[in-house]
Amino acid sequence: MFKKTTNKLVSWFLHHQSLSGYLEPVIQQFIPAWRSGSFRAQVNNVKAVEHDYIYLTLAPESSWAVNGVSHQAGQHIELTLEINGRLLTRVFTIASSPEQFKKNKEITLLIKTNKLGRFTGSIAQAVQIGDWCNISKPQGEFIFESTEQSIVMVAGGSGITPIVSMLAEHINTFTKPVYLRYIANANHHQFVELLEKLTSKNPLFTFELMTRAQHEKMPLVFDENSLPDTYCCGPTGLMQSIKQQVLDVKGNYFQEQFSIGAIVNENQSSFNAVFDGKAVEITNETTLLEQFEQEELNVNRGCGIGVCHQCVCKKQSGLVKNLRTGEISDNGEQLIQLCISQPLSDLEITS
Amino acid sequence: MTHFNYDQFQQDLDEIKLSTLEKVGTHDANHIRRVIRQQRFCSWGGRILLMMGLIHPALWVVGIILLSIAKILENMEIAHNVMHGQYDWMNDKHINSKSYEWDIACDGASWNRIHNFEHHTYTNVIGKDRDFGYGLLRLSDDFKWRVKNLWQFITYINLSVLFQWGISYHELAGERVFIGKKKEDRDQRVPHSELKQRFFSKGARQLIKDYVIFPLIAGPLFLWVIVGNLIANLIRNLWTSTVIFCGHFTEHVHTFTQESIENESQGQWYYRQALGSSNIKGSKLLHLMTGHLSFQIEHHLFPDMPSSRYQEVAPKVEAVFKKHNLHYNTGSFGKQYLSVIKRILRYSLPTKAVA
Repeated sequence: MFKKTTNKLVSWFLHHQSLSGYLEPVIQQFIPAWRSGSFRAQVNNVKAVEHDYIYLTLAPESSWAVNGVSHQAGQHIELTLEINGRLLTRVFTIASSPEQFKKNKEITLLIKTNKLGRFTGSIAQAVQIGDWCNISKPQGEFIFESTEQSIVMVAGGSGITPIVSMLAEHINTFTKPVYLRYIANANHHQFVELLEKLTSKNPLFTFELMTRAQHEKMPLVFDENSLPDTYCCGPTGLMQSIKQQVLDVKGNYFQEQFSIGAIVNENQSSFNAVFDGKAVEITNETTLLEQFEQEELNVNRGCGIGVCHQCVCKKQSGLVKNLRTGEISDNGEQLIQLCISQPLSDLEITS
Repeated sequence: MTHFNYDQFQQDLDEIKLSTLEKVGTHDANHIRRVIRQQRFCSWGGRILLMMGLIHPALWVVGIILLSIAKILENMEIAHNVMHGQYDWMNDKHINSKSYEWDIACDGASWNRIHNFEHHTYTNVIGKDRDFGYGLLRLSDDFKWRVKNLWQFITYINLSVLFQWGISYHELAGERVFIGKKKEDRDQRVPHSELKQRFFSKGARQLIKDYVIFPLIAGPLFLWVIVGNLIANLIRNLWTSTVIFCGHFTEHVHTFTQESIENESQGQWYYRQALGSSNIKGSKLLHLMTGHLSFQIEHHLFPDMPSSRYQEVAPKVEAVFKKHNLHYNTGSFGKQYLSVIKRILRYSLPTKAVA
């Protein structure tokens, strides 16, 4: 109530959405990375390993974990870093278990870097031990549900992160066989030591590291007699095929919902866009402003040449090309000028 | 000017723009956050000192100065530039053109339409850019002389004194919301009811803040605070008005016709921006207090380049102007302001037809 009144007064007379917004730059001077609506976390470790993986260990501020409970194994967070003055946000699954958090008040993220990615590509340089960053509350429905069934888990690439968190959290509770198939490029498998440790903790847990070729040669077989609960996280194609197999025999299937990232395809000329909740089909042949106007969506037109910022909207996800600078955006949340934005992928935009 | 090489001019300026935008980053984010902090401290210090008048009147005077600085920094360096989208790349929830609302009587959305769109797109195009003379002053022969122009210097002083209300009323005047003949051909982008509602709402809140809430907080020092706020607003109005007039209405600033901008190329657009603005030479402090509108030329060429970069690009822009034999309109504050006054006075009188 008090907060609501204050914020109303602030928006009337100080013209900011909230008191914290008005004070933010001042408070940040004393408390680094202090941001309204976000939690602070300090970087305890950044470890780059072979094959472009980075382990990022964060110590979230105490209010992040409610009553000492950090997250449920399998959940993800939004991580916001300030990279060269820009606040960039990406979603990462927490690879460490809640049990571990209880011990050392830390969470670990496994980040697959991409040299071209503005975010993951510059993490190694941009983040130093001791730096502060922002994280969101843990989110996501990809959570382990213990049943009396045996369990099959399938991980592809960095899709191992939620799975390894679940395994570490629940290893002592397994009473039926748990089998993990972890598919990645040869020798690119992560957390191998941890997985080995888990097998020694509970012999009911077994795992196999495979390449995609090996997996395709020896596909998983699900039969109706011994129906395991199946958990899957990885590339969309992998998840789709496993899901189909499991649903065909009416098994329980769980997968991570968020998409791995937009796919740029220069030849593909039409995409799906959602503008303020309304779905429209767009092409990469002209600017977003022109297409949205044609669809009679509620957009502002100004100069039409990228000068006046009247048509600025918030892109929630997807890639666009700035036609003035030729710069290709990254996939995260960002303000864009519709009149000079060429769509390069499916997009979600709010006015 | 038939020999002017617009394409080369465009290439030269584009090169400055792109090479500078590449460098934009932490330095610029730190700049705007630092100015915001300075603004907050000036504002809080000023408001508090205004209530210390009984201890020593000098404290009250310092309070007025600090509050004026706070208002000027907010309007000029923070709001003007943030609302131009100069800092949108930071992805900061509070420092971007979409969410920022400024601390002035004028509704931000209205200003965005008139200033960012109309004025910056159609700079000095007579009939399109309503900022040229604000519909009050005759500043070129493009306008027919009227009797009221005889006393337009006084009109100018009045406008300066009430500048924030002038900006606030600007769009409503153009749209003939309250008085004047409605123009048939205007497409109403925003319904008049909304213009009115936002005009009154924003204006009233600004009045309540400075002349009711803060005086009430001061209790017995009610009057000290009212008068202090009034003076601070006046100083801000005079300063912003003066800076803006120096940026657009010095003697050598050109005007353009609507026909001349049909099918205008990017190079021609740059050319028009170049001739439609003028700079003020001065110290870093002057540049900051003008919101870097002392680099009006650079601002008009690159309206969404962070203001923190104008000082750096100015010599490069000047060199390009020189290369293309274009007059780079700059001078000291005194020289430019004198030039403005001359222009206002000169066009007070009808111009004799050239034989």
